[in-house]
Amino acid sequence: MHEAFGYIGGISNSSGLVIFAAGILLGFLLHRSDYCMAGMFRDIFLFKDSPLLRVFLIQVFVTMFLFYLGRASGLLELYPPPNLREASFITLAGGFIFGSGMVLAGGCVMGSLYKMGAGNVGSLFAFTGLIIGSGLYAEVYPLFFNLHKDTIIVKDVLLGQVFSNGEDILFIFLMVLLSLVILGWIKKGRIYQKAYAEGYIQPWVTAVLLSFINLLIYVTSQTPMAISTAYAKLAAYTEKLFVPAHYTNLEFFRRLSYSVYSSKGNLIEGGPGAQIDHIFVVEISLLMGIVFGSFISALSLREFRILKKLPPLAQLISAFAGGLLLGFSSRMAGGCNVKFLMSGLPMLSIQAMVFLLGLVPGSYLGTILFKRFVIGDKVTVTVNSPPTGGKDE
Amino acid sequence: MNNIILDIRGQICPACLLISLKELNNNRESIKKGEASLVVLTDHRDATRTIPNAVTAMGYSVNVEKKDGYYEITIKKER
Repeated sequence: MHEAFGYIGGISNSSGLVIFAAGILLGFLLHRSDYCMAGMFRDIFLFKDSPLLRVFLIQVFVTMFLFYLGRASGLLELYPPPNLREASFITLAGGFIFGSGMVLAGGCVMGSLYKMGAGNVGSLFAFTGLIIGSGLYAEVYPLFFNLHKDTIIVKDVLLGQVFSNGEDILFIFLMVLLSLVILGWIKKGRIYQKAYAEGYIQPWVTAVLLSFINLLIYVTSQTPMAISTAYAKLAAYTEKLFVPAHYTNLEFFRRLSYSVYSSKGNLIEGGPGAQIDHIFVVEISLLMGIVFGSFISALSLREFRILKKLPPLAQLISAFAGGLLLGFSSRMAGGCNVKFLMSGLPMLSIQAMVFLLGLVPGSYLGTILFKRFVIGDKVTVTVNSPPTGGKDE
Repeated sequence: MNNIILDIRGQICPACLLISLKELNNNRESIKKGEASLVVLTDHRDATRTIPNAVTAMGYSVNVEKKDGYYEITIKKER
């Protein structure tokens, strides 16, 4: 493939820097607001209420609005973007496993990054599990890819394509509906979150800024925010380094996730393999940015805490197992909550909706498993008589 | 008054809130009588939102203080 100077996989090196910078801001915001998507779904089942899920709906609304404008103004060239595909029963099954995985891991694909960046050892285990889980998928890729092809639900990628004539009406109706629901919550004070953490940023602020960051990434790279293929790439590089012969045999790492021309004639292509391509420039930059941004945030608050205190073994196992499930299932579904819920849902991607349909019952199962197997009597409780206690390191 | 120290630093979510609530229930009698308070040590930022929310709804008073790299959440009977 021929590439213009300074361009890799249809994207310029400077775009990679822009996305890295966006990732730093993102990591900073996620850490400050503790914007955890795993928690948003889990808390519905754990506490029968999830304030942060309401905040997430603000993100869906703002992103929907921005993408709608971006598309109308011609700012978003590739619509639907090349990193979304048709939904199948494998998307549904992937969503289900993903839902359980994120609860067990204590964070989603993005949440584990910012938590790890702040020094959480559990999330480091989840991160490792994510890479290994993505690598395991490569072993069984042909089976799952055929199952996906055989069980495709609809040929269209976006719901708007199904209702081609009524697409604008559909979007305007949804945006009006969402804004009314959100205004109702604002009036009742159900959006503002009271928290005592130092340097806390209101989650709704992060939700709105996340939408703008997503638009920036979409405009810069021609693909909306996505991150989980970065883990598959990390698995690919690891395997290429240690088991090169085996790596070369794996079809999963040889194929491309997408290969399309932009209107400027750049060939935008990338895949999970160990090569520098569009996915490398976009997703690896974002991944590194998030970890770094959260690290900066934690450090500036003096809250960075690696290895100061290890969580109980049950939690480490749960985080690692959850990571494995996240890595495997996001490859099954062809993406994670970032691509589907933050980017796909606001575009009414059918794949995103089917993924969500699996994710909700999956998080229910994950919550039950977490309560049963992780919250045991693993906590040491000490009773101190003098009122000044707490220094027991 | 007894301070029951619950050190859950380094733990993953949602363990923080669940373990705190469990401990609160185990010591409900003495805390309600004002004989003891529960002091939770956590480095989990979201716990400074979820724990105070949950325990104030249950009728306790709560105080959060930032210590060296972590937060100390004190739960007492309502004043």
